[in-house]
Amino acid sequence: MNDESARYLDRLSVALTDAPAPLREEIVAGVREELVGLDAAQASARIAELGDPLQIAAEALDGLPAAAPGPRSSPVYVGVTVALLVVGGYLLPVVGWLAGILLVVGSTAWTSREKKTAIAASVASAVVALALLFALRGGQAGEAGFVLFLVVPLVGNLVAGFYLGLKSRVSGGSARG
Amino acid sequence: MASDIGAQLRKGVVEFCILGILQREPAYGWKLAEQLIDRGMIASIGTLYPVLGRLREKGLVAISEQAAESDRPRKYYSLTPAGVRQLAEFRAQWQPFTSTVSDLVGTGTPA
Repeated sequence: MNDESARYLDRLSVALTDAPAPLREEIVAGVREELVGLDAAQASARIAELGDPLQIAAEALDGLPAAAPGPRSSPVYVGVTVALLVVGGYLLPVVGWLAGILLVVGSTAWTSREKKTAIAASVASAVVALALLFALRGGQAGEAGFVLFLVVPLVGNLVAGFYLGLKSRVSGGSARG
Repeated sequence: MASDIGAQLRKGVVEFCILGILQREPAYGWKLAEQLIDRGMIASIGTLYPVLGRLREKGLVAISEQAAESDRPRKYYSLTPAGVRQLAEFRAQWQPFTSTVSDLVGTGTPA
């Protein structure tokens, strides 16, 4: 499956966040069937025929009983997730940060691609911070290494958190542009 | 208002249109959607799956996985015996129903 098809399925899945899970899975599986095995030109043509994922989702949701906001994409969930990701590691070393990562993984507010991007940025900043701590250990350089060990993850997680905030699609609204 | 009337009419009969298509031959989602979109019965594939879900819940449609002509595995929808009976009942009532409505509504031209 090419990138355009994968992106389309991600957008469709996110657009269907408020749909009952069996319906969401059936629609996404049905559309995936249509895109698997097509070359780029064929996939583009089929995507154009299928139409805007938001429109598909709106029609799928039309007539269904109003669903309660999904708890794993509510504004509170998104806010707590981003906050834990950015400062959780300082409040409760390692565990707080890991809790933030787990909340990102479990949320329905982001596509799997968006989750992977944010988690990769967060993990990369942690790895860089650890590498700097070891590389600069001892003496005055050690103090600089420790400061960088504290600051680099903060910067990385701020970037990841900002990205997640920008991309989030909270229940009952559409922050997605 | 005119589009509301059309939407209400389509909503009332789209389930039976799907049953009719599936009686001719089992079909996968997009093939069903294409036929219904071409005839103006649904706007997109998003309208189709909730209806298919209801038909499955009622036991009128069954699902099976098969390789299509393109060798891609697909989910095929087909009529169950209950679906065949439901469709037959609809056909028996549809013609007299439309005749009655046409008589009552009239053509709008003075008699």
